[in-house]
Amino acid sequence: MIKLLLTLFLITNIYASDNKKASDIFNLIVKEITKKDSSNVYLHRGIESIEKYPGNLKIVTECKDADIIILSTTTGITKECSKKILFGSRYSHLKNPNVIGAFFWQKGRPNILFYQKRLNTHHIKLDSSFNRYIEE
Amino acid sequence: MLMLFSFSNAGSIDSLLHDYEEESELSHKTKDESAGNLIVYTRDDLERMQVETLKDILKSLRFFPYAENRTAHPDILSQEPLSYASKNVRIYLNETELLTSITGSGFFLFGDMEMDFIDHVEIYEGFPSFDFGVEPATIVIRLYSKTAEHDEGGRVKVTIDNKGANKQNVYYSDKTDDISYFIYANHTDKQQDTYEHQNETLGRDKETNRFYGSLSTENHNIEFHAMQQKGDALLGSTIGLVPKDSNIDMSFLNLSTNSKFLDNSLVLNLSYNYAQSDFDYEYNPIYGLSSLAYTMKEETFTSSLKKEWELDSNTITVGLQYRYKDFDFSVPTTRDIYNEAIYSAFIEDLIALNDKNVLTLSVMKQLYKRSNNYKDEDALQLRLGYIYSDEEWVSKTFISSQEFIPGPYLVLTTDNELKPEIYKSIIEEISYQTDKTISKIILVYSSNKNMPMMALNNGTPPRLEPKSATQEVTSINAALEFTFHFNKKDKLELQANYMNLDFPDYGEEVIHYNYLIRMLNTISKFDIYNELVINDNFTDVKTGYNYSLGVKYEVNKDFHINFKGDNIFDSALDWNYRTPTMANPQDTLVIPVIEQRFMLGMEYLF
Repeated sequence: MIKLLLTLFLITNIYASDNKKASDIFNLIVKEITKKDSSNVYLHRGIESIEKYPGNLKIVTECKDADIIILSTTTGITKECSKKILFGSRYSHLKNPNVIGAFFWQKGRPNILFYQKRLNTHHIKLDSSFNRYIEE
Repeated sequence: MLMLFSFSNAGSIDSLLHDYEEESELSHKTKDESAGNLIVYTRDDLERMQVETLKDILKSLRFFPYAENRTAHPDILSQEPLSYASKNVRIYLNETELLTSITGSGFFLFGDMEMDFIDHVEIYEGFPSFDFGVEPATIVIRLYSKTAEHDEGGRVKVTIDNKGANKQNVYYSDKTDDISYFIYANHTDKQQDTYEHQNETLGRDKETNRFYGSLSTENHNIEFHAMQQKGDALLGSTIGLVPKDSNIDMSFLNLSTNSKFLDNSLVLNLSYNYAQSDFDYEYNPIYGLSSLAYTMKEETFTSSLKKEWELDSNTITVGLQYRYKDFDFSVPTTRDIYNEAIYSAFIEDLIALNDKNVLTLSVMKQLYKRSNNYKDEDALQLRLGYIYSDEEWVSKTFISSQEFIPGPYLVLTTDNELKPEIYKSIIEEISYQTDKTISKIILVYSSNKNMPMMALNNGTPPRLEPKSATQEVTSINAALEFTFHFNKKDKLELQANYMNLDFPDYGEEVIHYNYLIRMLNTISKFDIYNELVINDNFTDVKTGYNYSLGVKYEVNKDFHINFKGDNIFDSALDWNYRTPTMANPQDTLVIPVIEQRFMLGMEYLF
């Protein structure tokens, strides 16, 4: 406990806070995509923020059980996984046409980007609050 | 607790993204509150204040406003006419100390470096943690470069000002699954006023080119940094002669690596520096010396190994460090010393007494070995710290004793036996915070034995040269600071600080007062920065009022235009340089440290 306080109060290592916030954003995005309060997610090669703070997300170990796949890399995705809804964590993941959108850092700021056509492919309609994050 | 507060009022995607951006400031991950009395400029601060060079933030530094030496190089602890007094100010780029081996510190070369590739800045005043470096320090400036983690993509930036100065730079960063890189290149042509003095025209223009690149994997990082700078040297380093023409041409190269092992608890840093400086002065022959030209070449290799153990209530860090400096002058020096090896070891223990009280104990020992049978010297550093913190109050107390071995640039220029400086200090910092405010008080008492000073020798004619002060120099400093956050993007900072330095060998007691009023606002797509720095009671110069205004307009997310006026009323602090002549031994050159300047810039992200 004391060691934990040392870390939090003195070294001010607040990875915890930004990981929590990142996970909150993933939670909101997944909820919006799946329209479920609690979704099954498969983390392809791990996403630290969700692993530490899953929130309402249930992490599954098999693609087949997932409502959505969140990627830390696009390499090594199995055919089975590719059929599911794919969501990226880097801008470059959007080069893969199966990835419907991504939450990533670029140019010094966090960004969210969806492609409308790819959303349409999966019959996904996002709330209007996401409009500014959707491109044709 | 130290993360101020959150204004988050909704779970909307927009507000979540905004909060996430704020909490992901890299400064949150690097700053170390236990390491000393800390001042942080976050990326948001740097961007909204339109910080172009390090000088832009150091001009309002607590107790020590930015100053330059006789050759127009940064020298924040200036003891004019001593050519360089800021040996104890250490400057780091990420984990690498930027260093020139002769001056003993890189502040001389990097104290006014452009900041376009820097993410955030931490300044530790007082007697910072030993964790930072091989040699002791009284001020540590840590610069952290942008990285691919947050800056995937690129930016080009162009700035011009009313004096014809211009700056262009570009960076680009990308990452794959296993590796990331960041590259940056800059050209700055800094134009400043010229000054007529003793029938000569003195200038301090500088042209600087820089390249910085880093390549990182999860646990290893390699960096390359090259700089070339040429320009005027104002008065040059020769006291009593005003140059007709003065030129300095400097180049600097650094290659460094940073590796982490055993779950980041073992850190190995290696660094190699090369620097060359060519000085060329021309004088009116009536002085009996028509020209002076010399070259200094310097090489430094530094290795540092640190291991940290996290036990139940202790965090123990042990470090072993080695630094080898090699220097070469093209002209004879008073002493024939051409290299120096420093062996350094430290142990630091952070003890959590309970959830609110922490004790830090640090011991560091250095051994200096110099060539040509010049005596070996050793130095001992001790530091005791106590930190109390709860949700509103933080109190930091640091008691320290430091020894500074005189740097090569002093030893090489005098026959006087320079003694190690013995610096003792006690620092108390108390801060109180509410939802919207932070109030802070800082009190410092320090004493310094054997401080270097300039004094006339017994030669014919007598010459000014460094010697150790015979009497103790004492200093009392106090600061009051208040920050009010109106909301997320609007804040007001008020600061007042006082410095009293009693230097009996010079027969003077120096008292300075510095004040700061700074306002940062964001209104729609405009970032507005207002700042007034007041420097009062500096020796033989009028009170300085430096008012700056900056407006940055976001045309769109990727294109910004900015305007900034610095020292708008041309009334900022002047600095006094001694230029004695036979006819007037008290003659001085008085010129502004920071000139009036109006800048226009634009940046495009891609």
